[in-house]
Amino acid sequence: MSSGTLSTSLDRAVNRPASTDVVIRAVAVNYAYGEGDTRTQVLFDNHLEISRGEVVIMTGPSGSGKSTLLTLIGALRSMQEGYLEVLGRNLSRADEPARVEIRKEIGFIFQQHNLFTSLSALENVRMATALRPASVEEMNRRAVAMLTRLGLADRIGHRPSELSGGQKQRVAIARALVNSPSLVLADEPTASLDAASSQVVLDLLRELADGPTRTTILLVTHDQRVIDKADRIVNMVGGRIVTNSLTRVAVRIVRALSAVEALSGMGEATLSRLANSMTVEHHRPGGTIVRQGDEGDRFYVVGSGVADAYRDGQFSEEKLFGEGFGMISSYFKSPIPETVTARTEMELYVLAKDDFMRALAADQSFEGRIRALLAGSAAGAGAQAAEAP
Amino acid sequence: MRLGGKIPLAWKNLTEHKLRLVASVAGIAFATTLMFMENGFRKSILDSMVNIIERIDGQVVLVSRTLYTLSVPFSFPMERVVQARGVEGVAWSGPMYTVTRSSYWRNPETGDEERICVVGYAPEDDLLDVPELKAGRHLWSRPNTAMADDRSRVERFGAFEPGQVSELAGKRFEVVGTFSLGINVQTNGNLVVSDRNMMSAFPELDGPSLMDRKAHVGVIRTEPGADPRRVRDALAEALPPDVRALTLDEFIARERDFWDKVAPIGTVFYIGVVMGMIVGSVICYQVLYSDISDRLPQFATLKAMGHSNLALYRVVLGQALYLALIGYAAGLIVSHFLFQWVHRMTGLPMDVARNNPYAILLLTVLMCLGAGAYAARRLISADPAQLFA
Repeated sequence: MSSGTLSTSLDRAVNRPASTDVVIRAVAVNYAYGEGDTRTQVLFDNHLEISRGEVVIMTGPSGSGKSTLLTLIGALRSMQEGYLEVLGRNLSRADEPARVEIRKEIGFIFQQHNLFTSLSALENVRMATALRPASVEEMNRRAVAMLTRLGLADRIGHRPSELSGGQKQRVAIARALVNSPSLVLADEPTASLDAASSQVVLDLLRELADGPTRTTILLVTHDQRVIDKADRIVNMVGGRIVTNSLTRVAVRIVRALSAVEALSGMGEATLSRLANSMTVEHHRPGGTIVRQGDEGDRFYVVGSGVADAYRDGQFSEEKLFGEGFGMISSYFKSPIPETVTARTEMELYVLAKDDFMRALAADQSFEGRIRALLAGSAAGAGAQAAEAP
Repeated sequence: MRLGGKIPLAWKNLTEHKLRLVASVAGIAFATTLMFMENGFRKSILDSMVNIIERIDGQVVLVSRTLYTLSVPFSFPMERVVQARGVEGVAWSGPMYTVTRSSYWRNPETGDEERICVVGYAPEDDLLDVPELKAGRHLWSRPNTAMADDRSRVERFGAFEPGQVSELAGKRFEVVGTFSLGINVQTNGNLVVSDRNMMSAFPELDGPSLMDRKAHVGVIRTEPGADPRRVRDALAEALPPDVRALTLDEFIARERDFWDKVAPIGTVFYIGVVMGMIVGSVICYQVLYSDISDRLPQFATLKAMGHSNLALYRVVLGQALYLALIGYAAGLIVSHFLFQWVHRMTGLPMDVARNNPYAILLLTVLMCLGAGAYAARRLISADPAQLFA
């Protein structure tokens, strides 16, 4: 199966990779432990696309499958079903030697530091530099630089027994990052660190993601401090990715939704859920977005730009940031009430009919708003609803 | 690629815990010492069984066709020794007599009779290449005199001293000098007497004429430049089939083979060597298995990082090799002192240099590498995916 022929469910704006340079592409990934009667499926039809340089946080309760997904992405397990591409390599059919090779490009940070107690901090880090062989001087230089960057310059020659828990974890992080890996997979990397050390580590990870190597960082964490550094948050429950949200896009959509008059007062959580269901469309000046009298199947909210609305051929009003239009005719029993044409370059956030129906079913407050709108004047209901996605 | 570049992980792991290292080395040293001792006993016993034969000053010998070991001497007519003088390539021949079963020396201190090995030949023939016997031939040519082996067991015979008078086979004999030959598992002491004294002490060897005497070994000295094997063949062809002609080397090899394989002293001690190897293997396996188990998460981390199973195997085999070399060195030192002690206590010719130290080194290395390879299978169970659990 090639990635080009795959159909993914990643059509939501917040699901999409931040850029076209995708380094992790998971399509319909299933995984089960055991066989026969003892077979237990832990991953169900998971789709994920992550581009180079993204900092991704994976959250979810224990047993949600995030660790299993992480081990598949890290080539620590062989794939069973679905398609998985990491750093341009197809892991779906990768054998053990191929997986060993790809792991050399990945930095692993585990909850346990797993340092060799017989080796000094420098020597532990040097165990990783051997995977990118160079002269001893060069490997030492890289190792010392990374340890120094993590505040361990005066602990380079110390063995783990002479280091604190936080220092040991920083040595393990140095070991994972010393080869400037293309991908970092980390399991609670800051769990045993104090606030200052956590900040250093998080800054370093962010720096790697934003720097010339554009390292992709995938972290399993519950640390709120880390969330501030994330580009994407992936939440898993029961073996499924239930939220996959590119945070800057989600923030933009939520900001636009919160400006919608009909949704004013709705909580951030509700708006976030709504945002997670929306797609993004871009329109050029002069293009007609919807036409009066047509059957509609989506609502639009203006994210940026200006549009002109016409009723019965007459200019009606401007559509600006946070204003909505469109119609889901099958639900509101009404055609599109106005024609809307882009006056400038526009970014529109779109809620399609199926997602609208799902949002109604899932969220009582949203349903309440819609019911209130429907309870208004019959004549104006469609028009008002059109402004309230 | 070498794991860790120039980081000697195997050595560091092995030497991290000094007490554990001492215990491990002691275990391997014990096994090595066991192998040294068993092999030492085997070799010294085999050497001791041929120490008289090795000193025969001739190139070819005649023995009874029924002879299987000189410790149970079978005789043949003296006539054959005389007949041999007419065979091509023979420069000289002379008879040697040995009595091992019916020869008793009375301990002058206790009055007890103890069995002793008696060798007889004409003193002027110098059949044994023993300096003291050659130098003192005028002394033991006299009637009722004997030369005594000063390595004979003192607790059995008392200390042999010149001038000492006692009984051999019930006849008065005087010890006129001593020589150094060494005892074996069949005899606790040696006497050398002249052929006349031999006939006097053991008249059953004598006959009506010189030709009828019962010789046990016919010593043949070949002409200069003659090939002993050709002379052996010529003797075999010329003499009746009641005697067998052997080169001296063949005679030595037959005697060793008898005790090594037929007796089977060699087999018993071989089993001892094998037991030493098994003990050492078990100790080495336990040491390495325990170390691997303690460091399993670290090894799993190395696997996650991209180090191959082969690289990890090399670490464990490196540890095994170091353990073998250190354990061997310690065992060599212990064995050296033990050999000296055993030699003092038993008179058996034991020293490290003569007892295949390189073969024991090879066995020790193979033993540890085998145990290491078996213990290293544990590495396969180091599942890096578990580190994310």
